[in-house]
Amino acid sequence: MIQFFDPRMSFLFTSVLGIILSITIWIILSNRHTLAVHLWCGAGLFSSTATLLLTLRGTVPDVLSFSVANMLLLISFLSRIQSLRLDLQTPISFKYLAIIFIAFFVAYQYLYLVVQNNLFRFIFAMVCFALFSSQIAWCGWLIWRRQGFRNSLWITGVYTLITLIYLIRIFTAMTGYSEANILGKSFDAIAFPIASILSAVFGNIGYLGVALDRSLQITRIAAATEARQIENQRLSGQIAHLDRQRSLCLLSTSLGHELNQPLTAILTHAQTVRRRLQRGDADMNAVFADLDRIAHNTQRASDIIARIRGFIRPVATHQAPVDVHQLINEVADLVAAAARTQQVRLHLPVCTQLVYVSGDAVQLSQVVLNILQNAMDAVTHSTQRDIFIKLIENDTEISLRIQDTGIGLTPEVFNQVGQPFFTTKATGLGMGFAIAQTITEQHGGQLTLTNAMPQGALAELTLPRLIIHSH
Amino acid sequence: MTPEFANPPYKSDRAWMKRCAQGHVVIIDDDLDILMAFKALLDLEGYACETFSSALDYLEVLPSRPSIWIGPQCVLCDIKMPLMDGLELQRQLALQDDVPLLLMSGSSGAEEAVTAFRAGALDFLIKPIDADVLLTAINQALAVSATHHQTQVLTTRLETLTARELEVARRVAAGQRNNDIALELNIALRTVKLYRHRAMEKLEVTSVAELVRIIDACQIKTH
Repeated sequence: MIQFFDPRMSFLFTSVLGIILSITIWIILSNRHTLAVHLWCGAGLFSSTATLLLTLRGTVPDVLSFSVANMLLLISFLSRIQSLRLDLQTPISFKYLAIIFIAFFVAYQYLYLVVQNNLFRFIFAMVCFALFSSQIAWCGWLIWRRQGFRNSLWITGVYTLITLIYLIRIFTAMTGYSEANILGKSFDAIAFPIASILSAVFGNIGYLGVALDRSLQITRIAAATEARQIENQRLSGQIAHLDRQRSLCLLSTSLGHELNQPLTAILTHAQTVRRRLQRGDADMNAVFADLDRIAHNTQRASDIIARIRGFIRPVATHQAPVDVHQLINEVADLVAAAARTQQVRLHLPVCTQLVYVSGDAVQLSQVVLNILQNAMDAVTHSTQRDIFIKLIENDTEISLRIQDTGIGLTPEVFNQVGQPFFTTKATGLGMGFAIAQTITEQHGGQLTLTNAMPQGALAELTLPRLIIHSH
Repeated sequence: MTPEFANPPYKSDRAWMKRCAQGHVVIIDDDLDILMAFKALLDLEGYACETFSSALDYLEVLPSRPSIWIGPQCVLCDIKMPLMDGLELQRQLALQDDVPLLLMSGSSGAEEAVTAFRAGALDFLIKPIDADVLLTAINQALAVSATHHQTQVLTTRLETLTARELEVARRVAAGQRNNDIALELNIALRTVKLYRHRAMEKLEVTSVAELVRIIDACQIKTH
């Protein structure tokens, strides 16, 4: 039987099989090309090329069929190890790989060119490759143990087999039972190409199985994560909506008062017109003036209602350019009545140029409203009740600074502010600032609260600036 | 304030004085629309109406006003305003002047109403205010102002009386006859008649009934 067996043919077969399988796997996994996959398939090509060079030993220069072939084999082993280790998330550092490569290269060249001892060189290469094979088998085992991919046991199986064959070859070569030549024709030499074929087939298929399983798992996890994110977004949207409603509830007294003003004016003008007309000798200009005032005040009342309605728009967010000055003015209008009642002066920034950010106008106004309400609460017990709003912008971001003249933050409050359910107010839920921070972060910005000099608290809202080029 | 809404240019006119005789109403509210509405109504009803958008503005012009009587007056003021609210104005007015104050508010807070009345407001009106309700309240306030003025005038006149004249006048008002007064005060009947005549002259009354009314109105304390 041994007489009929040609190791060259079997190595040639292994080589072609390796190339085909590597390329096939690389194509199959084309939608999931990680570095690990590239390394594994590349290793297949390297080892196939090395096997091909071995097969051609004698017909090609020795430097190719010895040195180059062994270096290619080394690269393929290291690539496979690195590939599996990348999947295990414990990659070997590049420096370490380079040291192994250079050490092997120097030692091999030394034994091949200087010592010129065939047996030593053969045993050295066999020992190294046995070590690397066992390492691959071990990584396969770890993948099964740590990540639960059963298919990796195929890799462990075939590479354990290869390690064993290497060990037997080392043993037989050392005892002189068979010649120290990879292309030898002894019994154990036959086992070697057979193991190579098995490793090419089952190793690659095992790897493909693991990769496919992994890809499925990643898809599943991604889908679950996405579902959770959507759910989170929906919930935070709802919470924000509830918070907006709560903010409006807090403002409802002052907004009711504000709405009452135009209504009072309308009633009085209407009754005045009636009295004018009842007298018979009505001054028509005065009648028209009264009617104009009624129309004006109706519009004013309608504006107040529109402002409230705009603020409690349903949850869905939509991204659009938001004019920051307009945003500040709208929120200031919303709290103006309350500020008047509490005798708080709002100092608004002067609009020198149009400044835009990208985001949801309603949600952003909620953030500003929350800051303003906090500031107004902070100055309740102060003799000086001022809130200064400043807008600072540069090319990339805008910064809205809202400073009050209250007592500022105590160290205790300072540490806990922004945490859900932390509040200093008897009636507060403690969610407002946390929600404001969440919204700000969703807009790619930052919201911080610090103590200001010489007094009061300073809230700083930073958002990426949106540059709009006028056409 | 907008130009069309400046305080009346006819202040020194006869028309303005005529309006003042009916009643001089000062409205203070930080809301321009409210001021315009009330002014339209009060102008129509023939009152002399002045508007201020803050209590401080009103207090600023107050010292420069001539102190002579030009008619009954009252102040209608919103209770919640920036800088100085209605209650604070009430305190300031009590120091400077004695004008009846009407407070108004956008909310019907019981607490506010109690505070307003305790501070001495004549009435507390809740916006929106019906024209009839507003005019009634203003008329009442003006009546209070008029009575108050009348009392003040009479008190001034009473102060011109000598102690004896006042004593005789008081006894006459109490219903004593001249003879009894002469006996009790131990003076001649002629002298009593003289004091009585002088007192009625100084008080600008022609009948005993009028004299009684004045003494009652001024509540001269009996010694």
